[in-house]
Amino acid sequence: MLRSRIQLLQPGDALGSLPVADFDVTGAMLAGEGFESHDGAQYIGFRIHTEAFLLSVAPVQEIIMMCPVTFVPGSHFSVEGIISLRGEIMPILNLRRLLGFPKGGVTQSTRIMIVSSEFGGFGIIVDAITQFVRLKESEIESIAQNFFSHEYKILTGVAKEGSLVRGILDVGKLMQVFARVHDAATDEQEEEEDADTHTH
Amino acid sequence: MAVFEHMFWRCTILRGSSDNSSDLSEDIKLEALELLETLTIWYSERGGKPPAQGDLSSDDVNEVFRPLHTLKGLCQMGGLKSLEKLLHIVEDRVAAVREGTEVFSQEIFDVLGDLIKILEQFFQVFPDAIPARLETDIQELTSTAHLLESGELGKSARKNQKAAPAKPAAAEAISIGDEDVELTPNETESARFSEFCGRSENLLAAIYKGDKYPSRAALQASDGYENLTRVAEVIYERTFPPHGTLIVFASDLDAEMASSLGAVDAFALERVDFALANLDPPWSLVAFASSANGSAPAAESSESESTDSAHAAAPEVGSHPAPAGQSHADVPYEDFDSTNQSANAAAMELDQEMLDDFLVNADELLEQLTQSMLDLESNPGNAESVESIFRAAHTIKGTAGMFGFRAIEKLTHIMENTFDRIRKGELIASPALMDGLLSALDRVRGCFESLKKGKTAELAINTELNKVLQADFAASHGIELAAAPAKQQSAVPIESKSVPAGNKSAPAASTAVAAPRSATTSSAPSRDDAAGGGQSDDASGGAKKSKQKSGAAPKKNAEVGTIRVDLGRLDALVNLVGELVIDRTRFARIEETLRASGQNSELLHTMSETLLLFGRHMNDVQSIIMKIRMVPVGNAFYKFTRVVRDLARTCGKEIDLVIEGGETELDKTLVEEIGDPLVHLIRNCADHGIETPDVRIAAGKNPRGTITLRAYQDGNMIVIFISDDGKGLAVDRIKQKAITQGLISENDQMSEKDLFNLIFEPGFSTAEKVTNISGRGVGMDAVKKSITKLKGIIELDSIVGGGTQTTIKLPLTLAIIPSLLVESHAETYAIPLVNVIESIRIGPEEVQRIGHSDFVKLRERVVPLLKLADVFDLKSLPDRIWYSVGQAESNNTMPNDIEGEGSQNEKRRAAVTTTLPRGGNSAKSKARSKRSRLIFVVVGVGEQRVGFIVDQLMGQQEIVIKSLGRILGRTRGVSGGCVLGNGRVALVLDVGELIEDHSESGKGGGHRAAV
Repeated sequence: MLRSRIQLLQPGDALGSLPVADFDVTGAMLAGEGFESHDGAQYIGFRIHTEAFLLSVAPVQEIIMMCPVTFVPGSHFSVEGIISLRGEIMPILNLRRLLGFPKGGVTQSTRIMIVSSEFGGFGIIVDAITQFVRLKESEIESIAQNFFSHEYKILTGVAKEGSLVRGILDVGKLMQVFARVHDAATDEQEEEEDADTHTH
Repeated sequence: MAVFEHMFWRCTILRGSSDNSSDLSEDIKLEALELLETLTIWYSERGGKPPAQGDLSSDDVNEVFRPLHTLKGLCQMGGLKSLEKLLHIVEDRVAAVREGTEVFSQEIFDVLGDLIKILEQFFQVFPDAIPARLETDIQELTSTAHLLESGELGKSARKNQKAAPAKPAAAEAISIGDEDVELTPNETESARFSEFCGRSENLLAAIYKGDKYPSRAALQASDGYENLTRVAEVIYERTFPPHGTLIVFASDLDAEMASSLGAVDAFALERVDFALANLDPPWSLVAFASSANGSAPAAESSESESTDSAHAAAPEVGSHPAPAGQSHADVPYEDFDSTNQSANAAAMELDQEMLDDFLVNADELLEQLTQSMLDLESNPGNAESVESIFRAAHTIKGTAGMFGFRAIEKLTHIMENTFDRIRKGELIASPALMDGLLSALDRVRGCFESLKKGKTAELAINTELNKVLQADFAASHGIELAAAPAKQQSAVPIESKSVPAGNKSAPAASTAVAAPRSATTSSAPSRDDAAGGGQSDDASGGAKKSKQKSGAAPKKNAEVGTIRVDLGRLDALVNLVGELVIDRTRFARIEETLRASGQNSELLHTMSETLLLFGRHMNDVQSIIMKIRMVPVGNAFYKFTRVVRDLARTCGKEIDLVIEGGETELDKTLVEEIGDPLVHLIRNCADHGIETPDVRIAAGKNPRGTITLRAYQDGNMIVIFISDDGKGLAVDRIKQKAITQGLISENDQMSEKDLFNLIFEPGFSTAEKVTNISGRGVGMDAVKKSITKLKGIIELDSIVGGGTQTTIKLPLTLAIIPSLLVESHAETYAIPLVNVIESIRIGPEEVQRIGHSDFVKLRERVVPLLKLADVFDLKSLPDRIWYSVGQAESNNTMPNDIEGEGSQNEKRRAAVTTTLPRGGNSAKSKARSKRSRLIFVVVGVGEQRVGFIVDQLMGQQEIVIKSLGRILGRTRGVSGGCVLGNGRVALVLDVGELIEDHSESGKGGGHRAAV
């Protein structure tokens, strides 16, 4: 009800043309003019609990306000539930739970990032959207996977831009978390469905 | 008799490749190619030599064995019988090697190599038509592998040439190829041979055109010679030495020849004709020179069916050329396929849109044609149906001609000619004649199907062409064809030399037999006409009525004027309207909120008014849009007339199908989907339900059985009712069978209805023998599955000796389903109204507890109770939903928010009180519980009932069901989500699954609710 769309981000959109006010959620960022002269890929910076992350803008469709979530019984523990995005049902992920952070609630800055993936769209609840950055390849470092604790296997690398070190979230890896669970939980069902299709 | 094996398999290959869904075929293809790659690597690593016995490890052999085995399975899945067989034989050899009972010989190794090569070629083109050459290869390899099996290959390997001179003169004269293999049939082959006998069902259509090929030399010089040789290879390859000839030419079958042919030849005729009928186009029309001197008598045309009719008809051609010529004067036999195929090289450019239109039209026309034809058969004197047939056939012919689909045009033309003769009264529409015509119609339909799949419509039609011609010929000469399969089967295993003696070769005999038959065929209809109120009229009265209705519907459409709309667009529109319905509900909520806040009254008033209007229009739009998708359910029904007719003829039963309420409208997708389950049910009725006429007479029933198919609307449900007046379900047998299968135990107290429901269990069948119609126990399971998929329910009732009634209830549409919204722990759930029986409020003291489960006695019925909150583990909700917007909002204290604090508290309290009675019997809780009442919704699937305890009923709403998406996958008990008026998502309960899960865990003592 109170949901309002903030901005539709299309890959390749010039971020400079975005209404700056829309992003001014935490009083931050957006470098207005001159922004485009930077090269490198664009990233959205966001915060979950106290940690800062980055996510490539390419898969991000839009960012919406937090809205009531419907609980889905028997779903993966990191799935908060489902919402309706203009009539389309979207699963919403609670990364706090996935990453083992303490419980948190809705605040003024809580947002849902709607991300597209090969398994369809889904939302990620973030405690705040912090900034938009462009990163050169040299500013991204891949860290050996076993360095992270297993919850952090959803990161593809870290950004060492400026003084901050932030994890870069990877949609593909995030989906793998579900794919694994999905496989185990629904193998049986899928077989059943397969059998169904065969009989038809 | 590997020859016949080959022919048999060949048909299955053809059939297999056309029947499979493309998805399955694709899967098979990919997997097969992958496996073949492993095999190829293995093979090439060996460098053309089998591993020496000493080096042979079991792993090594396993490496071959496993892919072979999987490939066999794949072939089986794809219905590729010939490959499966071949693989099986080779696999046997490899298994023997693995077990050490056999040496890995060079021969086995070579066969393996050939096999890999063939399979590779095969699967590269699969699932498209397989090149003829490849099939011959498969056949050859199979015989080689057979030799391998009998250990003969080593000794007699490739002694083909040696065998040739041993052939008898007669065989040599007609053998065009010179590479024949002579083999004595072994036992397995003989067994297969006799199996094959039972399967022959097609007619021989071999023509020899004397003026074209005056001598063997001329034949050899002709273009078709290569094909000829190949056919000859196949056919002459393995014949019995003394007779040598397997092909009998009707043109040669004058009395003298016929008597000189032995029993073997009579067999041969059948088998060969079967084979020919299933050969690819160029072969099916190949002409053979047959006589030893190469100057066979020229004959225009000839055709024959099974043995006796072949012998009966052929002499007539020979000895009475005049009538034969006459009967074919209108429709001279043509080498249609071959000319057509060659002419068809240049593919036509077709306007896709026009073509689509044509196809849709054609479907209707074909349906109409089938109906009218069946009508005509049951009432041969009906001039109206003949006219209708004529019109439909003519339209199809005309349009097909316009598009240049020559095969369709030709076939319909032939049919039209026959119909014309019927119209003029020259022919009587006998069942045999109709068989021929219907099979032609099937072929036409086949052509259309092939067109729809984007393939050519120019299928081989000669078999059907000949069937019509022959049926026509036979009908005009009063010869009853052995068309009914039952009859054919009995005719097949003729073994002795008595065949030529009793082969009705004397024309006199055949006409003598024919005379009384024609008398019966012509007298039967006239009796029907005259009686006007006979027993059959009674039974078919309903059918006729409905048929008239169906006939009227298209006419009406034509007057009103219709427009064809792409189904995709329509679906998009339906979805959008679904969204609009939700939007309207949201507007209504806003209005309510505004009203409650006491804002500007005038503006509010205007808004309310507009909203009211909007709502009314929305309702109209919704009902219209729903109607657009509705089509008469009869579209799915009428094809059953044909199904029942064919079944009745096959089983030797007399069955009438009465269709009522065919005009009842149902969502298009539902009508499409309902066809398959109905076929199963009707087959069951015809095969198991209705008894044979003699049994029925003995039971004091009308020898004609009746199957009733009725549809009617009941509220927002469509009820389809199928009943037969057959023998009914044998409850005792079901119970016995269920006990032996371990489905129930001896002591289970089950009502009859519960027992009937057992037949929906997978693999359950009481049939002692599996017929080719039913009995494997798959049918009812499949029926139940498809009905459940359509959100419908199915119930069975039966009276022993009185028949079986099946009731299917379906929602009117799948797009928008009316549901009951309920609330538990502030979460809203939607229960499809289809499953809702009633909702009841009771005092907690009425709940009775057995173990960990709760029950309530409701009108002489014990209903188990389930708490929705427990089923979905809603108590853990606060732990699961961290980001609850409701809390944030309540902090903002919005007084008008419906979802606000107050109402939620109330709900929480309700939740608390409902849990109290579980707590125990303390006086305090009892006192409190007097105020609170339990609300539960009784839901049901079939005969099963369960009560769901909820906190609150939120009323009815029409919802649009949506998938939860791939990330979440399927959740047990939830069939999807729907968007509510407040923009939130509610889960839609899958009542069937919930009940299933509950009853399963219930057996284990206590369900989740107890924890």
